[in-house]
Amino acid sequence: MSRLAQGGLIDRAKPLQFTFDGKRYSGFAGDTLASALIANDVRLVARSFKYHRPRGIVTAGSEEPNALVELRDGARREPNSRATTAELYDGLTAESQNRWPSLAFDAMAVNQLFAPFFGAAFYYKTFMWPKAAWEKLYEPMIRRAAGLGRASELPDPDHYDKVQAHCDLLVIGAGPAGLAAALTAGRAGARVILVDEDFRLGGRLNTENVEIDGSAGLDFVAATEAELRALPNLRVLTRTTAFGVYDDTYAALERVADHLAEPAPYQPRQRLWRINARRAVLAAGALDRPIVFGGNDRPGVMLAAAMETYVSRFAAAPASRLAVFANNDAAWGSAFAAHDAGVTVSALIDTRADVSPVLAAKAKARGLRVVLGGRICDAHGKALTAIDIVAGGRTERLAVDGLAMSGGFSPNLQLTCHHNGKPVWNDDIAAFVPGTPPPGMSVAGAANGSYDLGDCLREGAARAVGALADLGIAATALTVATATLNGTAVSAFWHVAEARTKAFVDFQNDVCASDIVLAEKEGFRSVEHLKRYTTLGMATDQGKLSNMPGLAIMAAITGKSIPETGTTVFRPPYTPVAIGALAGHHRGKDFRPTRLTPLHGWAREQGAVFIEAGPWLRAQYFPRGAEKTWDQAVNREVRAVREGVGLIDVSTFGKIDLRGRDVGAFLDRVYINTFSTLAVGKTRYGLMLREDGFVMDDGTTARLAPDRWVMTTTTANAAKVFQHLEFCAQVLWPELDVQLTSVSEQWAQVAIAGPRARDVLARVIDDPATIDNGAFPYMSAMETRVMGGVRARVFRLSFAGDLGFEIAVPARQGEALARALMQAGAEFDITPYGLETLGVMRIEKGHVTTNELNGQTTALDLGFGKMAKKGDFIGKVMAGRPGLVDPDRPRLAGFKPVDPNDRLRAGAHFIAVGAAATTENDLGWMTSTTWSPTFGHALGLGFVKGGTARIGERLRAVDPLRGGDVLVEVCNPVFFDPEGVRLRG
Amino acid sequence: MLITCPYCGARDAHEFTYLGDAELIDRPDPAGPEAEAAFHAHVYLRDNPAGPHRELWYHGSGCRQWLTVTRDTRTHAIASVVAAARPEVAR
Amino acid sequence: MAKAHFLEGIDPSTPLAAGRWGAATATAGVTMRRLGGLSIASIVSAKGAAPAVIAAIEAAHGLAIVDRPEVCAGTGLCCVGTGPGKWLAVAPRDDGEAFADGLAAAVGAAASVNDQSDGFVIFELAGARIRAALAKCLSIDLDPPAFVPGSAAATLLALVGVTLWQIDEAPVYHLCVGRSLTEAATRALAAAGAEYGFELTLD
Ligand SMILES: [Zn+2]
Repeated sequence: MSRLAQGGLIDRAKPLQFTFDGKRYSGFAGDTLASALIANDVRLVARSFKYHRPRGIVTAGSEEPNALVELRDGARREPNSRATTAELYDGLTAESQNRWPSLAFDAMAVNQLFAPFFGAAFYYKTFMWPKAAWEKLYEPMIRRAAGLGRASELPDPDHYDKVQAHCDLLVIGAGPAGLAAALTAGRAGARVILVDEDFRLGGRLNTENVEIDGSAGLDFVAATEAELRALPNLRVLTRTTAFGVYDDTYAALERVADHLAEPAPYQPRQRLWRINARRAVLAAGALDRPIVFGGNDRPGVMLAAAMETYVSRFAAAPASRLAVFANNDAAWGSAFAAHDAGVTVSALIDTRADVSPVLAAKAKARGLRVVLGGRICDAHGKALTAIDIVAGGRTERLAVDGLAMSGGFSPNLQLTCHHNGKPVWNDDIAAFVPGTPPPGMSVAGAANGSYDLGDCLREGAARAVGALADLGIAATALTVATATLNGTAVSAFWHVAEARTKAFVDFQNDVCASDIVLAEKEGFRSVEHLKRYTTLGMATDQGKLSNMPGLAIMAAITGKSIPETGTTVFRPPYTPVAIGALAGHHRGKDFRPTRLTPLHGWAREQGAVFIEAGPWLRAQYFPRGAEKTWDQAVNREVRAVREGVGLIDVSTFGKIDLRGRDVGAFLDRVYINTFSTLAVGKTRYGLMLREDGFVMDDGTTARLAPDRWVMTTTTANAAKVFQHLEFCAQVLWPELDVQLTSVSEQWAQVAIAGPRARDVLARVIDDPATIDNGAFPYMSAMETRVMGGVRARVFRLSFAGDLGFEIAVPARQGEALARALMQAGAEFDITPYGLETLGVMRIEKGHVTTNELNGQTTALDLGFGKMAKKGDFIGKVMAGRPGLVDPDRPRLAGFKPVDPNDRLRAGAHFIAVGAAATTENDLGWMTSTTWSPTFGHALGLGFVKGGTARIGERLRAVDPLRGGDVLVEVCNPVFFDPEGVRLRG
Repeated sequence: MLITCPYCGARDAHEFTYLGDAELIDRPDPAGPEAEAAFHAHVYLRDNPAGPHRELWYHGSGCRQWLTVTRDTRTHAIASVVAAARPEVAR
Repeated sequence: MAKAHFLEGIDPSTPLAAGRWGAATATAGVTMRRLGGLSIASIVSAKGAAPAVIAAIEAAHGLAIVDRPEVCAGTGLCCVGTGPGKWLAVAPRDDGEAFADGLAAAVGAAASVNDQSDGFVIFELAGARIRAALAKCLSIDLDPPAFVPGSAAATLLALVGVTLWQIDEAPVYHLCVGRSLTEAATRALAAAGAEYGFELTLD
C-alpha cells in the first residue's frame, strides 16, 4: 500500500470500494480514481494510442494524456474518461482501454517493433493506395489498433440541462487569485459567479504547504469559502469547467452528478451553463510541463506538481524511491514535500548549474542528494525501475521506481485565445503569457505568469477592482499582508539530446522528438503544419502538455526562437464536452417544439395517422375498417370528396390580419397582381415574388371591410411571409398606413369540399341563405355566425378543386365545428381527409405547392405570367431579366403515362422520344406525381421546355438514378374540371 | 452574441434573423433609368468589409422590429442598434 | 432500464396531465397553472399613433399604459408591452369578442385590435425554484434589477415564442403562449422543473 499513514484531504472514515479491470480495490472519499489507484500501487493504467506502450498516471488534473479509462459500465459506460478527474464513489467500475487481450500483456505492443514505420504521417503515407481498401480494410484495422475507448451503444439513460446565467463578474478558477477576485467582487455587492473544475475550492492551496497572513493556506480557503457561500449575490460552481469564450457568452460545463454512481431521480447528470458575463477574471492557474528524454513515458514518470498533489492532497505516494528531474525552483518544493511526507527522494537532478542558496540549504537540511547541471537521458523498465543520469560527462544508472519531472510551468491561458488572442512569449518564466484576451476578460495569478503566492492574491483582487470599476461598481481589494515566498526561478530546458530511446513529446498521440525532426526534414516547419503532420497536440488533451516542448524542439532544429516559431491556436472546448450536454432537453421528440392544431384531438378521435409537417403534426390520412395501406385510405378519401363531401383541417395556414387605409396599395406592391380593386366580401389568389424575381409564396387575401383584410399564407412560409411583410411595412414603405397582426393561432380553419359541401355548410351556418351560389359565388368571403352564434369567417375557395368552403372559427371552437360538420354531413357520408388526399387532389387540379415553389421558379414558369400587373411590385424588375423570360425556360405542364398502368416518379427528367438520355437533351423535370383515383391512372406536374405548348406531345420521363423510363403525354396541368364548373357550381 | 434591441434590451442573437447589408433599405426606383442595373446591384452586389458593417436584423422572437445593427465583422463588436428606416423617414 | 426522463415516455402530442411530476419534494418547487376565463386582445398602433392609443386606453379604461416592455395593470384590464406601439391586453372576462370590439372602438383608427382570446393561453408560474427553472428555458436576465414586478418580455422559451411578465416579488410570472405551442412550452417547463418537483394545474 502506498497510502501514507497520515495527512491528505481524504476522509479516512469513509472507505469506498471500486474495481479497475475487474480487480477490487478500496479508496477514500476525497480520492480521485487516479489517487486511489496510486494508493493501491497500480502503476500501469493504459496502453498508448499508436505503439501500445504501457503508460501510467502523469498528471493530477484535466490535462491528463495517459490515464484515460472507460468509466462505469452498461449504458453509462464512457470512454476516454480521465482517471485524474474522476471522483471516487462507492462501486465505481473502470476499465483500461486500447489494450488486447489485457493491460499487462498487450498483443498490439508489437507495433513498437515496427516503430520505424509508424513515424510522423504514417497513416498518410501508408494507407493511400489502393483507394478501395480504405473503407473495407485500412480504416477498420486502424480503428481497432489505434482506437481509444468503446462508447456504450445503448441509449444514454441520463438527462442534461442547459442553463442561462447573467453576472457582472465571472471568475474562472478558485485558486488564490480566483478566491481573492471573487471575495473582492462579492463584498462589493456585484453579481459574481465563481467556477472551478475541481470539486474543492483552493487550487494550489490544496497541495502546497503555505501560509497567508499567518494562517495555513487551507484555513484561508475554508474561511473564504464560508464567506463566499454566505453572499446572496455570489454563486459558487464547483465541478464546473469554463470551456469556451464566445461573443458576450462564456460556456461552462457543470458535472452535477458525475461523482455519484448515478444521478438522483430527476437530477441532471450535467448542466451546460451559458453565462453572459459583463466582465471576467481568468485565474485558471498554470500547468507543469514534461521534459523530453528517453522513456519519459514509462509508468512511474509523472509531473512534479502532480507528484506533490498525490502526496500532499491525497496522501498517496506514487513511488517508494523517487527521483526529481527539473529546471525550476517549484519542483524543489515538490521534492521537499515528498521527503517530508516520508517518501525516499534518491536524487534531485536540476539542469541548472546554480540554484538559490535558500533552496540548496533546504535540500541540505533534508539530506537530499542534489545533482546540478545534470540530466536524465533515459528511463528504463516496463514500469520504471531505473534512470540514467548524465552529469559532469559521466552517466550513472540509479534504481528508482518513481520520477517527478518538471520543465517549468505554462500559464493556463487557453481561454484568452478563443477570440483570436495571441499569447506572448516571456523569457523570464520561459513560457507564453496571455496576449490580448477577449473583450471584458482580464487575467490574474499563475494564468498570467505570476507564480508567487502573494502576487496571485494581490493580482486577483486588483483585477476584480478594475473590472468592477469599468461597470461603475466601487470595490475594495482584499488585502494580504504576508504570504509564503517560494522560489519561482526557472531556466528553459526542453529536450535531452543524449536520449538513446524513444523520447515522447505528445503522450496521448505517441509523437516523439524524432517525429518532429522528421517533419522538419520533410518541410513541415510551420507549427500548424507540424501539428497536422505529426498529430502533435491533436488528441483529446489538445496538447496541454505537448505543445510547448514540441514548439521548443522545432525552434531548436530550425535555429529560431520559440516566439518566432509560433504557438498553435487554442479553440473551445478546453476539455471535451458530451453532446448530450449541448442538446439539453432538446432530444428525441423534443428536439424541437411540436405544434398541434386546434383540431388535433378531433383528428385523433377520428383515427388519424399523423405526419410531421415542419413543426406541425398534421393528419396524413384516416384509415377505416379493413384498410391495410395508406393508399387504400387515400383512394377512398379522394373518391368521397369528388363524389360527396370531405373535410380537412387547414388551421396550419398562416393568417395575417392587415388593417389601415393603405392595405390595398400595400398588397399591390407585395403581390404581382392587383388587390386594391378587390371588393369587400371577395377574396383573391395572389403570388408574391422575392426581389430577385423568383416566387416566394402564394395564397389568398380576402377583404372583409374597406380597411380590413386577411391574408392566408402556406403553412411552410407563414413566418417568412410575416417577416417579409413587416420589412415592407416598417422599412420599405413606412409611409403606408398598414398594421400587421398574426392571427394564425386565433383561428381554427376547416375546408369542406365536394359536390355536397354547400348542403353540409347550410346546416351549420346560422343563415343558410347567405351561401346560395348567387349570394356567395366562387371567391367570396364573409364574416358570419355558425353553430348558433359562433363568430366565423367563411371563404368560398377550394384547393381540392371542387365546390368548396373554408370556415374559420375561434380556435377553441374548432373541434366543435368539425363535429358539427361531421354530423351535418353524415347523410352524405362526409369523410375526413388528410394531407395525402389533399396532395392527390391538388395535383388533379394542377395547383402548385412547395415542390413547384422551390425558390427557383418564376410566375412565368408557373403559367401565372398574365397575372402580373403593369405597375411596380416586389420582384417585377428582376423577373423581367432575359434569362427569366426566355421562352425556352421549362414551364409548368401536366403529364400522364401513355400506358395507364405505368407509374410516374417525381425527379424524372423529360427527354424527347428517340433522343439519348443526356444532359444536353434534358427538356425539364417532373416535380409532383400521384396515382389519381379520379382518373384511374397516374398524373404528374412538372416543368418542361415549351410548357403547355407541347400539349399532346409524347416524351420520355427518365429516372436514371432509381431506374425508370416511362413514355408520358404532355397535358394541361389542370386535369380535373379544367373549366371550373365544379368550383363555381 | 448579444444584440441590444432599442425596445427589448440586450437579447441573445438567437432571437434575431439576419437579412444582410442595410443597403437593402434603399430599394431602387423601378421607373428610374437603368432600373434593371440598379436592381441587379441592389439584389446581388454587396460590399464585404472587414470592419464596421451596417446590416439588417429582425427581432422576430421579440418585438418584431427590423433593426439596423452596426457590427464589426472582425470582432462582432456592435457599435449601434437602431430601428431600420429609410433616412428620409427615420423616426 | 430507466428512462432518461419521464417526458420520453409521453409523446409530444399527448397533453401532459395535471398533477405532480418529477422529484417527490414536499412542495413543488415549480408550479404552472393554466388561467381560464380570460379575454386577450392584441393592439398594434398605426405609425406614430402610439400616444393616441395610450390616451385612448386611459380615457376608456382609466389605465395609464406605457410604450415599453412593461405590464400596466388596472382593475379589469392589464396591458403588456410587446413591441413599439404594440400591446397584449388581458382582462378577466370570458367574452373576448366583445372585449376586443370595445378596445377597437376606444382606439379607433389609431390601432388595429384583434381578439386573440383563442390564440393564446396564459399560465401562472410560481414556486420557490421558478427562477432556476426559467433560467433553463429563457436566455433573458430575470434577476432584479434587470427584471422586476411589472417587467415584461417577448422572448423565446425553449425555442417557443412567448410573452412573459412578472406579477410580484415572490416571484410569480405570467406566461403567454400561442395555442399550438402550449404543450411544447409545458413540456419544456416540466423538464426544467422536474428536479425541483413540478406541479401542473389545468383549471
Ligand atoms: Zn426587440
